[in-house]
Amino acid sequence: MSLLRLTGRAARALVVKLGLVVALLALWQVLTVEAQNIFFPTPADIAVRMRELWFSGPAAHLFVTGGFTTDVVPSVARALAGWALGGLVGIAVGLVAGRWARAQGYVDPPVNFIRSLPKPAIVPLFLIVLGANDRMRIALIAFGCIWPVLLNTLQATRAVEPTLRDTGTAFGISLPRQFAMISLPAAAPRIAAGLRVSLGLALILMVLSEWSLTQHGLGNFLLTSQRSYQVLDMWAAVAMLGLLGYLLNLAFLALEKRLLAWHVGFTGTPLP
Amino acid sequence: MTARLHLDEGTTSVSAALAVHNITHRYGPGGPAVVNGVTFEVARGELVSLVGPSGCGKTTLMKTISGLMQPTSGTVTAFGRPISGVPRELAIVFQDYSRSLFPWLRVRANVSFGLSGLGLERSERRTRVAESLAAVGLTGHEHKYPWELSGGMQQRVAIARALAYRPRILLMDEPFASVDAQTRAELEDLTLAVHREFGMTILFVTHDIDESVYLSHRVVVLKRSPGEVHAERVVDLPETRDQITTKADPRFVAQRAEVAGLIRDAALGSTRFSLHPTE
Amino acid sequence: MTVRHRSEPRALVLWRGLVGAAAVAALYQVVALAGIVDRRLLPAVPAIGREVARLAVDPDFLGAVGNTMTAVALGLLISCVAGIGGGLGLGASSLATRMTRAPIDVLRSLPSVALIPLLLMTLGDGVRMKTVVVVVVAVWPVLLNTTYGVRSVDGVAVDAARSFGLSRLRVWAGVVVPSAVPAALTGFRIALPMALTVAISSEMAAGTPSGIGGFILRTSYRDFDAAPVFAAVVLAGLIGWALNAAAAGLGNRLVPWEGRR
Repeated sequence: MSLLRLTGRAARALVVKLGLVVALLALWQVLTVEAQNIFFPTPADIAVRMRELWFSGPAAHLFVTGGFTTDVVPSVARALAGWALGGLVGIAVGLVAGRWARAQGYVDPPVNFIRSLPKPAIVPLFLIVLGANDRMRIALIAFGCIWPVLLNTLQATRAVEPTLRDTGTAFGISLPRQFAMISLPAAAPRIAAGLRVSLGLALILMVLSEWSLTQHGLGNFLLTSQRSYQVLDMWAAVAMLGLLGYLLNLAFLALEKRLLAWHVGFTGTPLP
Repeated sequence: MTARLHLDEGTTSVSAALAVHNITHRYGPGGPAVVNGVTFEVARGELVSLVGPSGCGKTTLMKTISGLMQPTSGTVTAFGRPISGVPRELAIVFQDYSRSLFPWLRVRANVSFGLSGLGLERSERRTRVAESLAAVGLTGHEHKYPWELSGGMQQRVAIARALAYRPRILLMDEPFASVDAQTRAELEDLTLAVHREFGMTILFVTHDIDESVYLSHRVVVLKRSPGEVHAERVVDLPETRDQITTKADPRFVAQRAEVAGLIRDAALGSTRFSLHPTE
Repeated sequence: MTVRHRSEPRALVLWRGLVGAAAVAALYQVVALAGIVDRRLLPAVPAIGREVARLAVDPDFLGAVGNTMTAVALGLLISCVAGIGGGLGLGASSLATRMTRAPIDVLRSLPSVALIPLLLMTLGDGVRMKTVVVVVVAVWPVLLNTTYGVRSVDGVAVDAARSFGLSRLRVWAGVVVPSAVPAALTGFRIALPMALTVAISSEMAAGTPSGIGGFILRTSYRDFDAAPVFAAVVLAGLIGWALNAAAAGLGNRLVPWEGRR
C-alpha cells in the first residue's frame, strides 16, 4: 500500500518536474510537422541528427563520435578554461579591492564602465593582439567573465560583517589569512552568483570566439552549417549548446548547494 | 582542574594587567570627543565591570582598549607594554554572537579559529578545543553549526573560542545584552566559574547595573557626551556569589542602589558639567 | 548591501569616479606606449578622446546608436510585458512555478548568440532579428524576479487584507502586485545592460551594416585606423553605463526601501 502511494507520489513529482517539457516538445513536434517549413525541422529530426553527429560512436569511446571530439570537446574546454581564469582574477581582485572601503568611489565607476563594454567589440582587438589561436579565445572568454565575478565579489566583500573582521584581527589572524578564512567564505554566496552569470557568458563568448578562424568547436560548426544552409545541423548545434549550458549550470548548482549549505541554514533564505 | 598560575615577567615594575591612561577618541580631526581622558587600571586576576548609560562611548572605548582601534591620544598598556594592535594575551567576547561566530564553520572549527595563527600542534589544538567546550558545558555539540544553537549556547561558543586562545586578559563587550533573563543569569555564573578556573583578568562592559555589581570586584562608572570616568567603586561582597543569596544580600542591594545613583548622576551631569564644549 | 552615505557631495563622487577612470586610461596608455603591440593598433588615449568627441556628434554614428537603441527599447518592452505578466501568473501558483522550472532553465541556458544564424535566415539582419535576440536574453531576469517577488509576498499582509473581507482579486491587485514591484524592477535593472550588449553583439556576430555593432565592423574594415573603433566601443560602454545609472536611479526613486543588489 505505502509503496504504491510512494511510487504514486514519485510519479506525480516527475510529472510536475518534466511534464511541461514533454508537453512543449510534443507541441513543437506537432507544429513543425504541420508547418512543413524548411527552416523549422521537427525536434525528432533534430534529435536524430544530434545522435548521428555526436552520439553514435563505438562503445569503447563512450558512444561519442569523432565529431564530438572536434566540435564539442574543444568548445567546452575553452569555455571552462576562460571561465576559471576570469573567475579567479575577479575573485582575487575583488577580495583585495573590496577590503578597502575608501577604494569604492575610485574602483566602481571604471569596473561598471568596462562591464558595460560590448564584449564582441573587443574580439578584433584580441584577435590582433594575441592572434587567432586558443590563447586569444581563452583570454577573451576570461576577460568577459571577470566583470560579473569582480562586481559581486567587491560588493560582497564590502558587506562582510565588520565584527567578523574584528574577530580575525582580535585573534591575531594575519591579513592574507583573513582573506582566505573570513572574506572569501563570507562573500562566497555572492561570488557564486557572479560565477553563475559568468558561466552563461563564457558559453556566449566561446561561440563568438569560434566564429572566425578556427576549424574546431561548436561556434565554428554553427557558422559552417549556416554558410552551407544546413538548417538541420544548425538546429542540432543550437540544441547542443542549450544542452551544454543546462548541464553546466546544473553541475554548478549542485556544487554550490553542497559548498554553501551553511548559508541557507544561517539566513533561512535561498542562495542569491 | 587546577587554576592556572601566570608567571609574569617584569612583575616588579608593573602590577596592573591592563592600564588605560588618558584615552581620548575623536571621530575626524577636530570632531567632538566620544571618549575623553579615560583613565583606569585593572589588576592581575581582577574582574572589573565598566558600566555606563547608553551613548557613553563604551563600544569605542572597548575597541580602543582591545587595540582594534587607535585612540586619538592616550595609551593602553597590557602587562606594562604599550599596545598597538591586539596583543597576544588578550581575547574578546563580542556582544553580538550571531555576527562574531562564523556561520560557515561548525562549533569545533569556530572554537579553534583563534588557534590557527598560533602554530600549535594538531593534538594541542584538539585538547584546547575540547577543554574549552567542556568549560562552557557544550561538549557534544562540536559538529553543529552555530545557527543551529540557541542564543545562549552561541554565546557559550564565543566564550569557548576566547578560552581556547588562553588569554591572560578577557574583554567582554556587553556579552549578554541580547539573551533572555534566565540565560543571562546562567551565563553570568559561567563567567564567574571561568574566572575562577582560568584565573585570567576580565574587563566586563555592560549597561546592566545588577550584572556589574554581581560579577565584579570593582565597578567603573562612565558618564556620557563625552565618555569620561565618573566614579569607581570597589564591590564589597564575598568572593563566591550566588544568583539568589547574593542578590538578596543587603550589601548587594545597597551597592546596587549606589551604582544606580552614580549612573543617574552621570547621565544628568553630562550637560551641567561639560568642561569641554565642542570647539 | 552597499553602504553609501547620502550626504556625500555629488562633486566628490564624480571626482573619485574620474580619478578611477583616469587611472584605467593611464594604465592603458602605458601598455599602448610600451610597444608590445603595433602603435596603430592600440591608439593613444588623446587620439581616442578626439575620436570620441567627433563621433558623439557624428550623424552616421548617432544614426547607428538610434538603430541599436530601437531594438533595445523594443526588446525590453516585450521582455517587460511578457516577463512581468508571466511572472505574476507563475507566482500566483506554486504548482505553475515548479512545473515551468525545468523548461525555463533549459531555455535560459541557451547561449543567445547561437540563435543568430537561424534568426538571420528567418528574419533577416534588421531590427526584428536584434529585437528577438534581446528578448531571448532580457525576458528571463524580469520573469524570474517577478515570480520570486510574488512568491515572497508577506503572508501576514495577505492574511490581513483578506481578514478585511477583500476578495481574492482585490488582494492580488492591492497587495500582491505592489509587493512584487521591487523585484520586477530588479529584474529590469539586470536586463537593461544585458540588452544593450547583446544587441551590439548580435549586430557584430551577424555582420550587419546597421547599428553600433555594424558601425564598429564597418570602421574596422575600412582602414587600419583603430582610433574610431576604440572610440565607438568606448561610447557604447558609456551608453551602457548611463543606462545602468539611470535604471539604478529609477529604482531608488520608485522603491527607496529596497536594498540595492
